[in-house]
Amino acid sequence: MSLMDLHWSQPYLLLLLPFALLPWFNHSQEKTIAWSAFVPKDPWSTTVGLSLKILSSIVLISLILGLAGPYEPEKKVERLGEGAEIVLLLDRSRSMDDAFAVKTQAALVSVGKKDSKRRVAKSYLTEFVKKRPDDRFGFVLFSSQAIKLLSLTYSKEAILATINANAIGKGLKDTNMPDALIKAAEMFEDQPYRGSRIVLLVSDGGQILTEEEEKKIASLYKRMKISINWIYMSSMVGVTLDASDSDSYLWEDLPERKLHDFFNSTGIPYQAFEARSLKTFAEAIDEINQQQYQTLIVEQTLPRVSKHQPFYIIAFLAMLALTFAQVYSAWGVRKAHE
Amino acid sequence: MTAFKHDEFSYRYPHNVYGHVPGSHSGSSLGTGDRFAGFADLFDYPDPRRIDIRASVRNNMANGGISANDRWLVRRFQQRSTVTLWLLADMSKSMSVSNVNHQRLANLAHMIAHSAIGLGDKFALAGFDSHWRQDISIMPTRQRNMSTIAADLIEQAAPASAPGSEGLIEAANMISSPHAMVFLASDFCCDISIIEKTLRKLSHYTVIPIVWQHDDVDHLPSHAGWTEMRDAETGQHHAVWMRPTMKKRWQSAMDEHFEKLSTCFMRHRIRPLLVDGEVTGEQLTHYFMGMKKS
Repeated sequence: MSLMDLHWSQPYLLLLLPFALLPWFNHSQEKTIAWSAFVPKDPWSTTVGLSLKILSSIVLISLILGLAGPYEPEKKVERLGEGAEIVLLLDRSRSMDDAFAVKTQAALVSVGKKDSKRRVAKSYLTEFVKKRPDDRFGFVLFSSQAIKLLSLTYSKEAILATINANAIGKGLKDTNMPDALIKAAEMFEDQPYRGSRIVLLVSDGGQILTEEEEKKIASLYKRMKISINWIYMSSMVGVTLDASDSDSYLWEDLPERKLHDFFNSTGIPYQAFEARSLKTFAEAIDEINQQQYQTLIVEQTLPRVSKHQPFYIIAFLAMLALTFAQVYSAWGVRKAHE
Repeated sequence: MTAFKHDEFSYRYPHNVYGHVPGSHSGSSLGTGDRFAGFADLFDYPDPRRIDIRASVRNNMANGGISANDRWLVRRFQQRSTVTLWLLADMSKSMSVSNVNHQRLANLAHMIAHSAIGLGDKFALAGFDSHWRQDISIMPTRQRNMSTIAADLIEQAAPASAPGSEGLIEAANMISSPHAMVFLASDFCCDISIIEKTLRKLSHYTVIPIVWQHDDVDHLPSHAGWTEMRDAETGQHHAVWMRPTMKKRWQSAMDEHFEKLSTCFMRHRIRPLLVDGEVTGEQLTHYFMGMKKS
């Protein structure tokens, strides 16, 4: 990065640059002596004098340049990366505060504890995000309403902070699955298609959708070529999305199963992961991690970077040297007057 | 106009003066005086007031008794006479460093003029910097108010137009009196050859160099670190990085110069009066007391 490429936030301050010549004309420290014939000739002094003057010019120049606010402007860089564009769709309903993967109904009451589903989801998602450097993440949470918390971004910090924030507090009352799915898909609206698009649904329950909603969701996801990954976090061990013979009759009409069936029937790429324990949750995440690698064009926005610091450091160092010289000189003058 | 202290000093011209104007210095001309200078025949020196009868009788007896060709002896005396006191005043800019804008030099001029004219001697002044300063010159005079005029002249003098003290030789040329005491007031921060030349020119006068010493600070403004300075005369800028070795070199250059100066004075049998600050009448009186009387 050369000096010429820098932009200045206060370019008019550069008009002060001629002040850097001041040290070369300053004679304010001069003392009148009776006869200069006594002053010894000394080449070393010439060198020192020159460097002191140059140093003071450097101090002035770098201070002025620093004050003028140099910065590298914000710019976009495109590069090829491997990964996917993922919208995390997180359930924030009250049931997510329940404990994850307990064996009995009685153990469900440990609300908001460390092992709540939300906390578990948070810690695994955090790791997931960290493992994928080139992915673009969005974040939508839903309960009675779906809220687009974070539109698609490459910033790892932003997504991590959002995941983190989501684990705080308690859940809300309701679950509005269709709205959430639509909002998640809308995140990809008006975005160029860069590579694989995933909605990663983390939820512990489903909802029965109306026919109209089903149609809309199906067409929307098809049009945008979005695949759905569902990490289903059941509260109790044993509940599965696919019907089996050992099912309790209570589970037959669970909305989760209906939703699962719907996803399967639409023909959009869909995969469900049933997280029955911490271990399976981790495995599910790992599997998604491995699957979703496609070459995609990553557009990175490099933020505006202030570049005043090196100038101030240079000024500081030069000023330090000058201060030492000045203190030494002042001591010398004092000694001469003793 | 500044009020000047009426300080004065006493001095005597160390040699005999030949001159017809009566004064206070022992002279070599004969006339009224207190120093006996032998006898003369009354007919050769017809001053019957000074007939010495005892000497005449003793002389006649020694020559074989009283006879017709007896001589009358008359006592003769050396007449005290006057000299001229010249002040050669260095008006160069370097002098004003230690001299508070020539104030001290003006005081000195006032004192010399006052003492000289008070004793019946003449006072004269010649200023110089790079040239002889005609505007700061006074020809030998006994005018009573000359002390104040001289001091004012020096005080209100225009600053030197060019650096240097070469005018010293020209100023020395102005001295035309047969007997003179020359006060040479300067800081002697100039080429020794100029002083050597001047002293040779003034060799038949009594020269009293008043060496105005600058403060150490005016010579060596700093002992360490970056030092920028301006020559008082030329206005040239100099800058050095002071350190112990530089200080040593600087100091030795100074010592060498003043060493040379004192050998120069010694060669001409002149004792300089070293002064820092104000010159007092007492200092000058002491100086003249220590002067060898011929």
